[in-house]
Amino acid sequence: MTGWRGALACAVALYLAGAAQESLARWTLFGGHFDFLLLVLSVLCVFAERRQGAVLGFFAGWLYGALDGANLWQYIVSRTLGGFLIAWVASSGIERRLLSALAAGVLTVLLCQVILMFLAPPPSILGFLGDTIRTAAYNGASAMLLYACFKKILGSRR
Amino acid sequence: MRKGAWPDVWTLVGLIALGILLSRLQTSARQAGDSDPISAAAKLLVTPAATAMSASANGISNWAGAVLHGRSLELENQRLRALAVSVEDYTHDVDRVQAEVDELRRLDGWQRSPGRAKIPADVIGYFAQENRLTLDVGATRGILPGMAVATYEGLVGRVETVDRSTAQVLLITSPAAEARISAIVDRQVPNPPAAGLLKGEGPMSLVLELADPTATVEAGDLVTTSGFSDRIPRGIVIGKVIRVDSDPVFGKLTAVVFPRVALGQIREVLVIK
Repeated sequence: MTGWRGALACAVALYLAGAAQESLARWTLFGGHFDFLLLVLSVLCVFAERRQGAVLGFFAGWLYGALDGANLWQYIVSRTLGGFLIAWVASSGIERRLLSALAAGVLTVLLCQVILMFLAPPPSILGFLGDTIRTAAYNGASAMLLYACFKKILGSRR
Repeated sequence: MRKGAWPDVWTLVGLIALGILLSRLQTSARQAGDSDPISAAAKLLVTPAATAMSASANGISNWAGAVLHGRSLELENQRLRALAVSVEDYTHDVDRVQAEVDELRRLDGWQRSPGRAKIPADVIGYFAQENRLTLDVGATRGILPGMAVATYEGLVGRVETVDRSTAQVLLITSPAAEARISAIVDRQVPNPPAAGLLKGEGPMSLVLELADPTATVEAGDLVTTSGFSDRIPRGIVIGKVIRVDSDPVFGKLTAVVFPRVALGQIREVLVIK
């Protein structure tokens, strides 16, 4: 993922994800909800190198913290580390297809939220983990759809 | 680790350091009763798209709700209209009595008491770890730091910081010094109310340090706001005393208070001006 086209696609995607997070994230489906910023982060990381993954994670975390009024560093650190690690795995030779997007969607949520859990322990760990698993399932399914769109825009790497 | 990986790792470390720096800026802005400019800029940028998305989603949801629950909504609407008429009568009486109180205070040269106007707000963020709520009202609706935030059940907290369209509320359960509130134990006559300072001690309990160590306080007594403040009116219910600890040697009397409001389940609140 290089050039102005890639950067523009990332900026627009993160912007729209931020708007969706702000307006739609409170809507629940069977008690769970989507995490739009993590969804976009996971799909973009499929196309990204490690460094790009970290930068994308940084902006996703910053947007999340800024929009929710939460403590910024916990979200920035968890998302930056998550983006870096997912992009690392994605760029290590794994074939890019719908199933890898699903895995990225699920793993990004699990990874980032577990890191966040250690940085800002929630009052109810079991409740938090339950929400995380539900969000991971929703994001994983949605990541395949989003991946199909991004594949047309960002093209194939190999 | 391969040699080529080090620039990526340094980028990662740099971004994390930048995140911590931004967070420090955010914290110092909050301590000054404001929101940090970088977060405010992000909100300002995203708000137009978020508003459009929210309006579209609400439109679809309303349409689907009308199709699925049309008949029951119509019946509920009729019931609520009847209820609204009786509430209007009651509000009219309360307004008339309050106007008389205001006039008497004015004639006696007293200042206008706080708590006259209540601004409804939606809770758009709950951060249990930080004992904080985010509300969807801000400076444009006249919200100021220090104002009380309550539900019809009781006190929730006080406004900590305000920006254009949102406000951060520090919950009464917060152990932070800024969250402390002057409160009284409302006992039945002839016992006088016992005043003290209330502080948070975790998600389910508050501790009231009573000013008078000889005061009579018992489990089950109601704790309300004292009104010794220019922003928080008297008489807002906080909770009930569940235990009283007395230390006669050091002349200390404390009461553990269980908050009336289930703070994690609030969706709508009133900001009291």
